Amino acid sequence: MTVSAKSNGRVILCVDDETTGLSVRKTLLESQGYRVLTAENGPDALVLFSSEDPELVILDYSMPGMNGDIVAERMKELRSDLPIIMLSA
Amino acid sequence: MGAAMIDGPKSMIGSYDYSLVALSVLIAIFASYAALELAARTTAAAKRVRLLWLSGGAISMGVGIWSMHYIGMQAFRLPVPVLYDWPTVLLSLIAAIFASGVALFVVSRKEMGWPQAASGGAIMGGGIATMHYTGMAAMRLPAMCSYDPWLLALSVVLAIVISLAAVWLTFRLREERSASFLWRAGTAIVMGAAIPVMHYTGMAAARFAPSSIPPQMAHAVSTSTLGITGVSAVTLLVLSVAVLTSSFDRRFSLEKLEAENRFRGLLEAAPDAMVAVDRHGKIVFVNAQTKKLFGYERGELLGRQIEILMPARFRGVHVGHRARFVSEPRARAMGAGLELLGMHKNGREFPIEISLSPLQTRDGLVVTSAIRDISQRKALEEDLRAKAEALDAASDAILVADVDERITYWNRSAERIYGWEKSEAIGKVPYDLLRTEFPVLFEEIAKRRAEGGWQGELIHTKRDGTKITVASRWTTLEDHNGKPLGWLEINTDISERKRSEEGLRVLSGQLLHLQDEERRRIARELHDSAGQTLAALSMNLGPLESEDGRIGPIAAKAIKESLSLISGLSRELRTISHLLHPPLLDEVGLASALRTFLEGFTERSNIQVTLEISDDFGRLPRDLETAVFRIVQEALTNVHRHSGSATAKVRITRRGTQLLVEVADRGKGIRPEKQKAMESGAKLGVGIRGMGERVRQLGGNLNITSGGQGTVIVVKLPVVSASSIGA
Repeated sequence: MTVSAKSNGRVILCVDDETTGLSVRKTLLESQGYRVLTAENGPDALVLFSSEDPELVILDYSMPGMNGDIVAERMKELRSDLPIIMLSA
Repeated sequence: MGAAMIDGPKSMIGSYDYSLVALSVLIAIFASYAALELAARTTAAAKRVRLLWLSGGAISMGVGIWSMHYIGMQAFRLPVPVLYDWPTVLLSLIAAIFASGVALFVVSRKEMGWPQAASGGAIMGGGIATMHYTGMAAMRLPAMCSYDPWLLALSVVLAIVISLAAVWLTFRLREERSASFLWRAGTAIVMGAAIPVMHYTGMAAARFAPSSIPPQMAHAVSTSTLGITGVSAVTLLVLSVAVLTSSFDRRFSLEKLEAENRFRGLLEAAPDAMVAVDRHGKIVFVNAQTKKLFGYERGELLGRQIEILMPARFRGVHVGHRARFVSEPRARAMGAGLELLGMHKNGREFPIEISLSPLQTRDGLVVTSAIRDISQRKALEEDLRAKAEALDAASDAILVADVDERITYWNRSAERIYGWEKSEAIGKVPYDLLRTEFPVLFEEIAKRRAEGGWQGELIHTKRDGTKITVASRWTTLEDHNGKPLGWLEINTDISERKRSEEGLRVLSGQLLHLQDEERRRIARELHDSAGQTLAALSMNLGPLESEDGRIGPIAAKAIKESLSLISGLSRELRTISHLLHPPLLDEVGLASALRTFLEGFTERSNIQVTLEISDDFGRLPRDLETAVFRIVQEALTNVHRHSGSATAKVRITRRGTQLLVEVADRGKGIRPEKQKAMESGAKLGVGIRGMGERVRQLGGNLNITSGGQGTVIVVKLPVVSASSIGA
C-alpha cells in the first residue's frame, strides 16, 4: 500500500473493468489520504466489499459479466446505508 | 247554287300572310325535331314505357302537323269569310296523330328494312295528305273548292317521298348513338319540310270559285287571330315539353349506359369470378377471373345454363333454388352454412363462397354472383384447427393474451387446471383472473418478456380458490414486422412437485434436527462421561507425580507420560465436543458462542478472523442460532481447507426480519469451472450442500461469490419469530 499523504484511515472501493481509469482514481484518492481498494469485476468487488468493509464504493455501471447495477443491488442488500457513486460512462 | 258555280267561273284570288307562313314552317320543323327525339326515346325505352313514349311522340307530331295546317290556312287570305266545321277539324287531327303514330312505330322498331321504311313513309305521307284534305273539307265558305288533279297528285307524292326520306333518316340517325345536334336538326328540317311542302302544293292545287249556295254552317267556327295564337302557343308548349322530356331522358339513359359500362368494367376487374345469369339461369356475362377459376373460355359459357359450373349431383336442386331466388330476389350470401362446391372444366371440385345480387336491367332480371375459391382458406382453417387441437391435447395450460393484456386463447388444459371455461376466460386479464402472485415485480417480467421471454414460478389461484404453483414460460408474440401482438404463456402445474419437495425439505429438516440433537448428546456424553472419567484419571495420577522419589524412575516416567496423554486427550475431547455442539450456544447465545469458537479456530488454523456482530444482538430462535453457527463453522472450515487466505471476516447483521451472514476471505477464490459446477448443483461438497440445506430449511437463500481476490458467502435468513431476549 502506497500512502503518499497522511492516511486518514478511511476505505474506498473503486470498481471498473477499465484499469487506466481505475488507477487514476486510486492515485487521486490516495493522495487525499484514503485507503483505496480496487476490483476489476463484480465478484471481486463483492468479496472486497464484504471482507474490507469500505465506507464508499465507486462503481462503473457497464462491466462484463456482472453489471454495476447488480453489484450495487447486492451491496445495498448488505448495507442499506452505504453510499455508492455510479459512473455511467 | 250549282248554276252560280257554273256561271261564275272566275276564281277568287287568295293571298298569303308570309309571317304566318314562316310560323307554320317553323312549327312543322319543331314538331319534326320533337318527333325524332321521341322516336329515339321510344327505341331506348323499356317495353313497359315504350307505348307511352310512342303516344307522346304521335301526339306531338300530330298536333304539330295539324297546327301547321291551320296556321297555313290562316296565312291564306280569301276575300270571303272562312269558317270551319269543327268535327271535321277534329277528324283531321286524329288522322295526323294516327299517321305520326304509325310512322314512329316503324322507325322505333329494332330492325328496319326497305319494306318497313316504304310502308312507314307511305302511311306517314298518306296521313299528312289525308289530314290536309280533311282539313280542307272542313272549310265552310261561300265558294266552291276544286282541285287541279296534277298538283293534287304531286302534293300526295311529295308528302310520301319526303316522309319516306325522313323515316329513313330517322332510322339511320337512331343508329348513331352520339348523333350531333346538327344532324338531328338537319333531319328535322327535312322532315319538317315534308309537311309545308305538301300543304302549300295542295293549296296551289285548290281553286276557289264564288258560290251563292250557303255552306253547311251547323258546326262552323271561325279561326280568329286569337285562335291561331292559342293554337300556336299550345302547340309550341306541347312540343317544348316533348323535347325537354326526351332530352332529359336521353341524358339520363346516357348516364345509365355509362354507369352500366363502368359496372361491367368493375365486374371484369373483380378479383372474384363474376357470373351473371338471366331469370332462366342462362349465363349472360362472365369476367376474366371466371376462366381462371373454372377453366372455361368466355364463349363456352355465354348462353349456357349456370349449372354447368357445379357438380352434376347438385344441378337438379339448384334449378329449384334458382327459381325461388328469382321470385324473391335480394342480395345475399348463398347457402349460408352450407358447403358449396364448384366444378372446374376438368371435373375437379373445389369449395367456393358465393354472394348473389339481383339487378333489374332493360333486358329483365339479371342475377350476378361473385364466386370465390376458398380451398386455401379451408386448408388454413383446417391447419389452425389441427394446431388448436394439438394445443388442446397438451397437458400444460396454454393461454395467449393480446397487447391490451386480454386473454384471446385458452386451451382445454387451462380449463381443466384452473377450472375457468374458455368462454369465461376470453377477454379477461390473466393475472386478475388467476390472482397471480409474482416472485418479482411484474414490470421485471414484462421487461424480460419483451426481450424474448421469461420463465419462472408463479402462484395461481384456481376458480375454487385453491392455490397452485406453476412453472411458467412467457414468450412475446410478434407480427412479421416485429410489432408485438401479445404473449403466449405456458403453465405447467408443479404443485405436486412442490409438495413433494416440501415433504423432502421437512424430512431433511428433521434429519438435520436429529443430527443436531445427536451431536449435542454425543458432545454432552463426551464432556460429561468421558471428560469426567479423564478428569478423575488425571486427579488420581496427579498425586503420584509428586511421589517422584518413592517410586522407581520407570514408573515415574510412565506416570508423567500418562498425565500428558490424558491432558492431550481431554483437550481433543473438548475440541471434538465443541465441534459437535457449540458449547454454551444454548446458554449464552450466538454472539458469545461464536467468539469462543473463533478463538479456537484461529488457534487451530492460524487464520485471523474478525467477527462483526453487535453486542446487543439479542437471542434468536434456537434452530436459527444453531443454523447460523453451523454456517459460519462450515464456511470457515472451507476457508481453512481451500482458500489459503490468512484472514477472514464474519459479519452478522440483523435488519428487521432479515438476518444477514457474510463470510469473506482474501484467498485464491473458487476456480470458475468449479463455480459453474456448483451453480448447476452437480459438484457441491457435502459441506456446502449441508449449508444450503439448512438455509433452505429456514426459508432463506445462500449466495457464493468468488473472484481472484477471494470468496464471499452471503446468507439471508428470515427471522420468523422476532424474539429479542437480552443476552
